[in-house]
Amino acid sequence: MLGIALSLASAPAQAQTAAVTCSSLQTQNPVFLLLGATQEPLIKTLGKRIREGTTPTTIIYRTAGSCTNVAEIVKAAPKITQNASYIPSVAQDPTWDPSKPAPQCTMDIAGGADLDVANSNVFLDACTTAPLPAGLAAFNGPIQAYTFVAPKGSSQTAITAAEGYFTFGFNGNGQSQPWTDKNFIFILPTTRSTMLSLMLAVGINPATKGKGTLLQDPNEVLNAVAQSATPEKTIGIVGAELYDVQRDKLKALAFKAYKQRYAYYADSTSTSFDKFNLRNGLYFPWSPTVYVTKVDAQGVPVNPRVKYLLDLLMGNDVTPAAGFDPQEDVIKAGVVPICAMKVTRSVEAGNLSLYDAPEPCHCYYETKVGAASAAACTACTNDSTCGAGKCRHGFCEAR
Amino acid sequence: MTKSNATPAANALNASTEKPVMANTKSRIRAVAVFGGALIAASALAALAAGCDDSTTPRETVPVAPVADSGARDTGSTTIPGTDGGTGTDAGPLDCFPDPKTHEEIINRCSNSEKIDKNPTLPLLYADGGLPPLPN
Repeated sequence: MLGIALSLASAPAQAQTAAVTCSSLQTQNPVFLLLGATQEPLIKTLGKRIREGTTPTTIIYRTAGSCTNVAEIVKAAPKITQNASYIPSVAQDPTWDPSKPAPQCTMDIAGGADLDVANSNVFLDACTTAPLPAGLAAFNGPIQAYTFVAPKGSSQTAITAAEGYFTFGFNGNGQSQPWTDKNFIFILPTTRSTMLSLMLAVGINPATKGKGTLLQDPNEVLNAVAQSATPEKTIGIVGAELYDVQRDKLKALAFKAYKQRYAYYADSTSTSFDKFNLRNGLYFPWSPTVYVTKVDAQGVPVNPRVKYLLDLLMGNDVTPAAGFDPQEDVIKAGVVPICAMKVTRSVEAGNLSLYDAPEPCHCYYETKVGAASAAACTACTNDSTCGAGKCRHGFCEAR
Repeated sequence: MTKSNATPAANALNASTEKPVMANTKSRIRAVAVFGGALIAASALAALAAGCDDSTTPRETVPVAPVADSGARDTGSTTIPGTDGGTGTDAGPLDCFPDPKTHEEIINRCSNSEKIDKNPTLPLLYADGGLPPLPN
């Protein structure tokens, strides 16, 4: 099932191998990234594959809030100046796998390492209204859901947008029962995509007006909610990918958006992992994962290793062939490939519109997540068995 | 590779143009009433044929008072009955849209998904159902 092999990233990255310097990795085709924490498991998995793949690349990264990452890459000379995590080769650590914390390199590069990619897990407009400087472009990747969570011991099953407005916007004084004590309302900094996305989803704008007990890391929120001694009054916010691997400890609250008749989970049920409601527009709080990098006049990433990585994340064909299906890693990480989406939006918490993917992967996605709808899918090896449709990722799609 | 077409500036522009439209719904509701049972029955059949798990038909939207702003995005100034985000201003019959096109229809589309009906009483709501400004 989803995420079984994923790290929970519940502790800061720790060195598992002998200390190395970041400068020593510069000869190993590095790509330096600033990541939002929600995407670390996916990048570790993809990083491991491409470290040993047909285009060996060393992923070196730090995690920070989405808006912190964006603020760095728009600088004239963006850098990573502190110790960073990296994906080791088999030679460097034959026992390492993505379920383990990534080892760290000591930042010894004078002035820091040039930053190649900044990741935001909300639309950039949630961080800044300023356009990107010339020479930078944003690429929208897989879709990330966010969710309000409560302890297992809570009787609550859903939250409406208006309840969220009063719960978080009034610091526990909004008379939105039972979430009326700020000591049990757990939030994150407004540089974090989880905070930005969910506050904007309930109409708290700017998100800095969202109040509660401030914690610094999504895992802190998860633990605070799960271990609360007052479960009924407790509520928190996490990314769905984190929740999906911690469902034994807490529960997601279904969400009812403004103008919506019912509250829904990101998945079709509270126990499934199919992201049906997210994909079809019934679940409102979601954002794209956005990757910002330097581009040429044609809008193509100037660093070919960055282009290769982003193509893998977006599900584009790569040369040489990767030798694995990166979309499988995307799905396992708990995010949804754009090719499996049936709705889209253009601004954070903005209106939804229908989306018809040019190269859909609905059946592939539904098969990977065990969706009931996958039973209606037809396996294929080429287009000949798909009628007017196309064979994609081993299944017939409409186009 | 798919490059995001919308720049932040463009996004801001899009956001500013996504204002809900106030509908003159009383007259529309009267018109709907003229067609009464036949329309309802036909719509219900269509919904059932489309696999809608709710047996009633999509309804006209009715306005609620504009939201007192807080800079909130899309908290809306129109709604269908019972779709007010839990503001408790309405509790109309069930609705879903078998062939959604607009945002409001999409978030209320028909499905077999588990759904939770929740319409809490929120004492700080304005009498007209609007949201008060956020404290500083």
